[in-house]
Amino acid sequence: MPTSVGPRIEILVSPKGETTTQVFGVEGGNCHALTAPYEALFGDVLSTSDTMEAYEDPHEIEIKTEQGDGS
Amino acid sequence: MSHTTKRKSAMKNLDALKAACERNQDATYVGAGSQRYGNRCKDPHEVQLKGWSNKVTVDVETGECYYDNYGGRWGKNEVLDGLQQDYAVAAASAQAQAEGHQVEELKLDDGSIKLVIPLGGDYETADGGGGSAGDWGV
Repeated sequence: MPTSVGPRIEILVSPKGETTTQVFGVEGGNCHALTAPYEALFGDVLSTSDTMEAYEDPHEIEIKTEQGDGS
Repeated sequence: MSHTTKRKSAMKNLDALKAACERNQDATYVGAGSQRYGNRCKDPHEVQLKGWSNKVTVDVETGECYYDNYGGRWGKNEVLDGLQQDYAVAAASAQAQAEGHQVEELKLDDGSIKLVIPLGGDYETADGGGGSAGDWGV
């Protein structure tokens, strides 16, 4: 389990390489600015949502998968 | 307000791709160019995956992968999935370190990898207090 508490970014990388980025413990409108450099490294957005409850409890993550351009 | 963002994997950073190949024992970075898919890619780079008959071409301009594994008979999809996972970990870790943050990497039971990046500096926190790099003790 994470040993870090307080303001932090958590990035969950699924076995298929899909990423879910969350910000914990930071209020205000700068969350997107904090994660933007990381999200720019990854692919297209599948979904995004603002959450208040992320301060307390990580969510169950629903991972969507897509395969590459196999031929 | 916090937020959650989900993204599909795309390998757009060459340094992270090479780092992923170093992390992943089943992947070897071959080099720039691609005989088979070069005409379809703007910036192709080839990777040899363990057990794969043909090399995978990664277009780092678009992040797309091009390959022919004959529906898994010429190479297991899970091996490519593993490379994409290591790419995401390598890319995010490099970004965090470039920003001066430490990175905690946790392997989860389902095969996922969680990266925890403590934020230094002053932030308005959920409990009303400000965060600082000295609060972490990590």
